[in-house]
Amino acid sequence: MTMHFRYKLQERKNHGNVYAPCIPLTFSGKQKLTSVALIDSGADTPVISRDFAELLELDLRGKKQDVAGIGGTVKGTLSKVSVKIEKGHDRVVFQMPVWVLDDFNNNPLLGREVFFDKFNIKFQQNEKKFILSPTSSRAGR
Amino acid sequence: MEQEFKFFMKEDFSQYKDEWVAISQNKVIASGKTAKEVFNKAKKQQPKTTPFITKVRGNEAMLF
Repeated sequence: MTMHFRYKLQERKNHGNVYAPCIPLTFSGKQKLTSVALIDSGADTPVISRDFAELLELDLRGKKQDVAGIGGTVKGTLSKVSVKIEKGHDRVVFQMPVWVLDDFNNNPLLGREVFFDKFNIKFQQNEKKFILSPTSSRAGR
Repeated sequence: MEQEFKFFMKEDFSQYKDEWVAISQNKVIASGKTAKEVFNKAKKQQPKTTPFITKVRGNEAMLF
């Protein structure tokens, strides 16, 4: 099974356009929501906002810790969430850890932990596409 | 989910820059400054549907 996705064109005034590897994900906690995550190979672990975590009713009883990024250090809580990726008839569901950041009002970031273990990811930026191939034969329809 | 994602990929959302939007059946059904606000607006309109929400990127460069 392979899942093919296109890069998303994002127009920016005065900075030129950029293309980003975005993927639709359905997050499940006690509630569900679907959003668009940016694949971020530079992040150790996936990241979501506190808004998302509260909407999903994730377990946020963990200790707040410092989480370092390029913009500095913010407070975050480590939790876990179930996610579903679908393309056509193909579907992969798995749990992954997430840093829930207090000061983060953006779409989820898909960092490496678990996600990059679950898929071989081939970026073809010159063709504005990327391909996910599940590493487990148990992933399927 | 796929219908909403296809719509997100092809449409111009520049009027919503830096805002969150909820998409359903090829249209924006809610917008606002926070994910919570937009999720709740979408749920109110379509209580049985899993909301599809995303933030529309602004003009800033993103470096994570």
